[in-house]
Amino acid sequence: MKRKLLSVILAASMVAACLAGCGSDAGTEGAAPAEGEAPAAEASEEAEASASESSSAKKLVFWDKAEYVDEYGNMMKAVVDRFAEEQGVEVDYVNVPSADMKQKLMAAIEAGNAPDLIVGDDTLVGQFASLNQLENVDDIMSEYDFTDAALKVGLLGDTQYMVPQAFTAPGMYIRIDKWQEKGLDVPETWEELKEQAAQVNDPANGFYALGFAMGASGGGDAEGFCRTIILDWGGQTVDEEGNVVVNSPETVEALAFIKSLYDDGLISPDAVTGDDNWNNQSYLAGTTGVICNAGSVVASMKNDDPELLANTQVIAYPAGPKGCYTLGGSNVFGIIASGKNVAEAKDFIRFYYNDMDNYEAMIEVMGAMWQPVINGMDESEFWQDEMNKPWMESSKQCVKTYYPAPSDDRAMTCFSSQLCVKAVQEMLINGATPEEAAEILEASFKEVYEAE
Amino acid sequence: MKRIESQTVKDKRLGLVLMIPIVLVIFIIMGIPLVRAIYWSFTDKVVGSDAHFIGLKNYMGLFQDKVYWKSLKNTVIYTGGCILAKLLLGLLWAVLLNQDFKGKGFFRTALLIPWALPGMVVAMTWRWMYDSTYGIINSLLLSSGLVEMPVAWLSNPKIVLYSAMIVNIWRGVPFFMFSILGVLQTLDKQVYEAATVDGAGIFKQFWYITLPSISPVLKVTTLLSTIWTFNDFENVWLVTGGGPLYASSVIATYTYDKAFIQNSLGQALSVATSVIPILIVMMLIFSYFNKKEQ
Repeated sequence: MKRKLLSVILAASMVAACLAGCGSDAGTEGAAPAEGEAPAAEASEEAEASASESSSAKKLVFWDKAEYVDEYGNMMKAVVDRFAEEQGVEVDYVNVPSADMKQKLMAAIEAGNAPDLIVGDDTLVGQFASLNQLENVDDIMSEYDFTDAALKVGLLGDTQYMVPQAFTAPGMYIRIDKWQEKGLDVPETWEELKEQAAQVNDPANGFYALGFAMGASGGGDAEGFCRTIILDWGGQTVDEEGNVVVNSPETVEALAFIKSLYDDGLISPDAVTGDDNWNNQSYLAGTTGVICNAGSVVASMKNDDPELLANTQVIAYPAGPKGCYTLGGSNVFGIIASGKNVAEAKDFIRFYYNDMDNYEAMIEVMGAMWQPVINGMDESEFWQDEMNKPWMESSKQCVKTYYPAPSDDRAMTCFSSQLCVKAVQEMLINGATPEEAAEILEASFKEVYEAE
Repeated sequence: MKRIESQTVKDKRLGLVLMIPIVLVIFIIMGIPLVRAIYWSFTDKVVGSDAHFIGLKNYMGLFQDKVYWKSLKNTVIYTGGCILAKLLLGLLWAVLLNQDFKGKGFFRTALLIPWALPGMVVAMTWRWMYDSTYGIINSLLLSSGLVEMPVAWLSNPKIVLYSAMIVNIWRGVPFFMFSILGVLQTLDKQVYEAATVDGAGIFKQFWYITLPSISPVLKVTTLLSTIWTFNDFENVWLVTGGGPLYASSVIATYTYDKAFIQNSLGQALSVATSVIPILIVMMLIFSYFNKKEQ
């Protein structure tokens, strides 16, 4: 009998302990004061007042994309602190590495504890807009003097879902010392780049002229590169009306050009499993002559390898036979629609843009990696500097990553699924011809665009 | 006699009652998410939206999906190859380390390092070593004249899966080795001495004394490692990204690809759920052999 009783008590206590562990810590908030403190009644009143105050206090959860420049994090934290103090809103400010943002956000949304506000790449945040997870921000977009290009960043259909923070226009990094050794000028066309690359290429000594990653494990560099070439050759993936038009002679020629870069051994064979870090790392390791990237590589070189920076020139993207496109990205604010503090999140964005001096300082502290999204800032001394001017020019010429397709969830899905990269891989891995790759590409785009 | 039987029944009941809390905890922590995941595999679930039941559509699509079958085949090769190699190497190293020789302590510590290192560090280190431009493996192969061109460890679809397997094996051998070594150290040396007196050679001693003694540990270790290797995501994803063109894709990485790159949670869960029967069969086989031995 004793054993039975003991077993029941043990089982009950374990269940209780488990349930207590799973429960909230609300019980501890109203805990009685320790002995020797205020009288019990007074303490109880204080505890009640405190509990009431904490329940009414808002807590804004803000996930910011971790940047390469530490100073940015400090400046944003200062903005957060000022906002918290002036608005009486508690803010939980978290830096999330860009590579982890998507998974963390998806998990948080599914778990019902998503952050209220996020900052991330437009291609990443845009995917959540296409999943109907972002709040309409038409009101904020109409309150500030955003540039024309900035007004298009967060537009899906007729609605604004993202507030641009800064453009992150890409540039082409070229090892100018290697080019000069061979007496070469910087290339103005892709064909010229290929010819020059053949002269600079030296794989036997661990140096590949080009470093265009072609891995399909996420990220946007490889997909952006493929789409740039297709556009420069006169092709399109999807036209302005949303028709899949990728299987064209122009696309076939563009794919043939991409294939030739790999077939000629101008790019390391490892590129086919390379992600967005691979091209940065290979350039920083000094084993690659040319990469296309945003300004983050400059920041790394400034910190870790000034000699490499001195041997680097950032140039505009070369032109193709039918044009010269630069697919640009941007950092954007997104407000999670299911968040508990949508109004406070909007207030924070307004607070951020109300202090334009701070915004300008924040842009400048990022070097030229970031370009402003507000009109009139390009005339400052900083942007008139010869080192910084090309980045500003590049940002003005940028088109969206899925240009000229209409901004909708299908365009976002096709980009994030890296359909062009997979078609190029079919050529490089499975030996498909450019014609076959174009057919594969058409089928995969149609699967998305013609789905019910 | 009746009193003893009654006591046994009581003990069993007590055992059952004491198990209730842990069963409840397991059900809450693992059972509910598992049931929900299985349900979602029959829906068109995407992140943040309501799930709509679509019957077997995800599974029908899966069975017509070439990448799924490729991933399943790769998973079997990856698991089978890795387990076999880890088992044999672990056994060999354990037997060697059970001998008396100078520096035994150093080797024991050194061989534990791969198991102790974080997966991320291991994967990044091997990625660097595999690199066809500046990787140390190609550098050694080229300088020794074994190859004329760098081996494309991570981009050749014919070898990329094996490249990932080597990393898993390198990291997993110490687990087998130390599990087996633990048992070997408990074996009575007099048994071996008696066998030697009876004329049994090294191989006979191994076959008739060592192997039966370590058999239970071998089974448990193999089962655990098989489940871990079958579900290994971290190593494959960080070393090869499942590429190129799904050449090294396994079920775990394909599930991730479906969920986080293609944004199709329902389909991703159907990929993950489809291998549950395989894991259950593996466990049943293990239980069968375990029972048979007992």
